[in-house]
Amino acid sequence: MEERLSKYTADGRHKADTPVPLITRVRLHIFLILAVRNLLRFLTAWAFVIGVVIITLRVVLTVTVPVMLWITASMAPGLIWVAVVSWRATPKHSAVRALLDKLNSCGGLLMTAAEVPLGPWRQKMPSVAGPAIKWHGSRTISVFALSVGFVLVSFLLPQRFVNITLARPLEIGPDIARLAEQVEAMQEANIISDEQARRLKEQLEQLSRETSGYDPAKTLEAIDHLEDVLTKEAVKAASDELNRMQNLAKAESLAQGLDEGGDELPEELLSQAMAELGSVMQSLAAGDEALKNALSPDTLKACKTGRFSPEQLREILSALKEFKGDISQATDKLCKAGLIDPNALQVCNQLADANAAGLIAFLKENADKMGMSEAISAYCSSPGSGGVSRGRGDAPMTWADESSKEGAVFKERVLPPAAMQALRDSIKMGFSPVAPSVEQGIEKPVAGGVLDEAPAGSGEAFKQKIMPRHRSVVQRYFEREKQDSK
Amino acid sequence: MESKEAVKGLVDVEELKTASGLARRMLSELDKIMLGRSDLHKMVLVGILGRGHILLEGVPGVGKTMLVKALGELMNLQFKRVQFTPDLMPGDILGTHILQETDGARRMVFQQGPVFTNILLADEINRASPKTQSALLEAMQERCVTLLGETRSLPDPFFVLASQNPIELEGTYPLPEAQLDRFLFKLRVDCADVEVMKEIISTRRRGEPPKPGCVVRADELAGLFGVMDKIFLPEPVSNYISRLVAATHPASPEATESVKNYVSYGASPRAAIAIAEAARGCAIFAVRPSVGFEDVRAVVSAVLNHRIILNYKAKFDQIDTITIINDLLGSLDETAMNLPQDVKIRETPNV
Repeated sequence: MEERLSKYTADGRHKADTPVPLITRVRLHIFLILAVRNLLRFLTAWAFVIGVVIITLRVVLTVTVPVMLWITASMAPGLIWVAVVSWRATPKHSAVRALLDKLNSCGGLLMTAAEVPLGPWRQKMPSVAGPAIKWHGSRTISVFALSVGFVLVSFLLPQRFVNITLARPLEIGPDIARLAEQVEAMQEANIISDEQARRLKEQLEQLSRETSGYDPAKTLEAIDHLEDVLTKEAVKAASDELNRMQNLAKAESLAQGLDEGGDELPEELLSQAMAELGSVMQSLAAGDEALKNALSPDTLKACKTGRFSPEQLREILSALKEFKGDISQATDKLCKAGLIDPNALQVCNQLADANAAGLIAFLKENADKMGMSEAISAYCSSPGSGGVSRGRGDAPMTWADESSKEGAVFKERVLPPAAMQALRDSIKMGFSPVAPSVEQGIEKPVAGGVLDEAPAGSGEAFKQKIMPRHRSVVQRYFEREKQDSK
Repeated sequence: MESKEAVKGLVDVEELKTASGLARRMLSELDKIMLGRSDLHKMVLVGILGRGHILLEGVPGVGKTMLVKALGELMNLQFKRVQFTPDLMPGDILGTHILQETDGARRMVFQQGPVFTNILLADEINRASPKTQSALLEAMQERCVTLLGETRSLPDPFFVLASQNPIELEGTYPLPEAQLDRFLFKLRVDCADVEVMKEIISTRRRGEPPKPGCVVRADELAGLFGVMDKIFLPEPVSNYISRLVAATHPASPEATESVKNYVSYGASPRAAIAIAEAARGCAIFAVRPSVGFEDVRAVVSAVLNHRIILNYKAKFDQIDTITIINDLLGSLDETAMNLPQDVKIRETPNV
């Protein structure tokens, strides 16, 4: 009875008729293969989708790493889906039994054993072995590896590479407009040729057309380069213009001074001043054909000889004023275009307004010492008339006799060796904005003279003897100056 | 065919061995009578075991009639031969009522036609008109004849073994699909090869075959049919047969590309029954109490080749039904595991 129970199932079939463990193993094997296959396919699709999502989010928003890791959690429902689909795709018991029947050439006996007891036919059934199941998944694995690479790239791609994927326009319109305005101003001022201006404008248009946010540094570098080219040209031109304006101001002031107060100058200084005027006018006329044409041949000849009549001086003044207007117009344009420093231009304009009477007085006072050319340049190139009592506050001081040093310099005295040693041994404790305090009751040295009241070896400041009274010294200095001037 | 509830167990081993031995003996005798046609003979016997009608198709002179006559002699059954001609009438086959005078009284007496026999050889069946061919429909399916409201049963067993010439089309009437469907098998009788012909002409005077060495008695034949009924058809095999027949229809989800392209009408459920029955016959020859997939594959071609109706495109492309069936057998998985293409199961198991 026990043997019967052990060999037969409840419905009377022999256990050997139903190789359930083998069928279950085969089913499990197929399920695992299908699960791996479906898992890889799902992960491939998921990886591509998530990769696109991550990159999109990184481009549109700034996604942090924890957020990206949370996004990967969306894989979990897919894994459940893979398990369910794989299990549903796993062949049923009857199908696996039929497969084993077919592969083992059982002639239907194995399939029959699932439905009716085989009885004596069990002995006719051949031994049943499991099939060899193989999955040709090289392609799936390759695509999966690609997708994993894609996801890794989407996660690990530096943000700067993600940013350049956006077509971000770079706003350089104002810069381009400013440069175009400068080019036009320089063209009108004849600083650059028409051909050069056309080429620069083309470059500006190309820059405006091709600029983008992909590489802003490149675009800005190009703008800087163009600006640098323009600035160099403009600075050179502006420098020339300023020099001319200075010469112009010098010649104008000198001509006006000679016309109005030439008689006040000694003969020698007058001839030197006229020679200087002739020299300046020659250099101006050489640089500008219009100015040259504005002067009469006699005047031009006088420029060479350095002897001008009052009419020639007035002719020179008239020509210079007209010439000055043209130059001012050009420099104003350059200044508006930002190519010339407005302060430098203002200084030049002030030079032009130099006081002719002041110039004559200045020359009369300083031309002998400084030389005619330097004196004219000093007067014209700096504001004010010089001296303590003339001109503006920022005018350089010109000195006549050297002032006395009396009351302004300390009287030198040789310290005794002990005091010197004490100074050498002294330690600096710090600086004080106030006068050092003098401790009372310090034992005085025995020796008299300059060392009287000096502390022995203490290194402290000596109030009465060593520290000067700066304020009073300066005050005395200026008081003496007044006395000198009196 | 018994239902599964009726099948309490498998056929007895000895009973099956006896039946299989008898079937093999018949096959051996047929092989002796007709040389070099063992496969054809086996299929004919399988058809007989399945109690089906068989249509033999072949050019004249290949031994169709001789095969049927030998079968009739071998089985010791009543055998009649009808040469179908265009002027053959239904009454010439089924029989007719004749006015007879007996004892001074006149009455209509039914005179049986040649159909009242066990084995009817319908020679060149496609030469008769459709009307005459249709006279066999009831006899083949119902195994009875109804005349003037009176139904008469045909002898049991009743087989129609018909022959037709596929190349001589003049004066012939192609068999209607309804009648074709009633044939279990349509077997092609090819010309014998050189060696067989050499043996025929050297061993047989005027080609006359030898008489069968043994005769199968009626009770033996009945026992054989009884064993046929006990051959078990497992569910996966019946499922395979159903899917196979369904796949012959272009609208079927499992239909192959060739079926979709070239088939107008697929096989009928009668074809599925025929496959199951014929597969049982194959199982007997293999001495197995149950039908396997190999039995089904062995008979599918003979069962389906005359039941699948091809379209004109198939004729243009010279595609025949055998090609379609082989395509079906190659693509349809017997076990219905429906595994993905990249998951392969090796044919030879790990031993």
